[in-house]
Amino acid sequence: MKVFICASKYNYKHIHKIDIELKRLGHKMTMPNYFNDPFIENRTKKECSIKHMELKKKLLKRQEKKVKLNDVVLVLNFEKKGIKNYLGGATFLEMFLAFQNNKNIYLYNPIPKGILEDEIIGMDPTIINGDLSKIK
Amino acid sequence: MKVVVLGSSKFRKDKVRIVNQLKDLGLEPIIDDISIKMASGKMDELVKQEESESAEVKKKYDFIRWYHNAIKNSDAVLVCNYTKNNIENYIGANSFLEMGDAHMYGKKIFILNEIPDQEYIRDEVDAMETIVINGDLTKIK
Repeated sequence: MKVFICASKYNYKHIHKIDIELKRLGHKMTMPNYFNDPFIENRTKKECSIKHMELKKKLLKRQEKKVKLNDVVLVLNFEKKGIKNYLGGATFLEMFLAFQNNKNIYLYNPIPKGILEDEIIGMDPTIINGDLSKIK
Repeated sequence: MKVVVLGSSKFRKDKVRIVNQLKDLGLEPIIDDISIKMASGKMDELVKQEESESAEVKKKYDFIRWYHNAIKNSDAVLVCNYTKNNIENYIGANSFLEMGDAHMYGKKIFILNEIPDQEYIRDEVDAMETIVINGDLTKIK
């Protein structure tokens, strides 16, 4: 199965281990944007707001392609800066794209509490609680 | 010009008022019928249910898909962002998704008031090239 991995850049550090396990299970992964340079956005933002906006626009378009090219979306929602099961705006949009394109959405951890909660429930994701064998 | 009127469900009365103003300006505003009924006090039970079971109500009436199709067939969206829960110019998760939708379809995105200081959406909203109209509906064109 083709799996698009989505996560906050602060959680990219978890991806390598998960990628190995998913490969072992026979899946083929698409990595998040700028997986090899996760903080390019932060640098660009400091340098020039127009360049940053252009970069974000490019990323939004690229997300759409990635969602369409894959069978499912796996959201790695680990803790970020003290927020449990964190899921940010960009990842939230990726989930929505998956929902619109009728792709199954898997959440590595439970749905985070807060402002996004109701909409995430509405997208009907499968919570796998770290069990990657549930991706099928 | 077809304009989908978006915003938190709490702002439904304001949204209906905006819809009427847009009509007066010769535009073609789009809003779901349920919101109009709820705003007019005809569905108070549903209003109560929505306060405690918002996700269930969205699923039941399939609002996510309804607005997705409405946006796809429109020319623009207008996000009605007022103060909610002490957050000035609030844009909720649902409206944020709909803005993303509009952006993907290349529709114009108008925001009624300033972009809120909500960290989780700020960068994405900026990237969507929104037009803040500061309450001036004549800027929608």
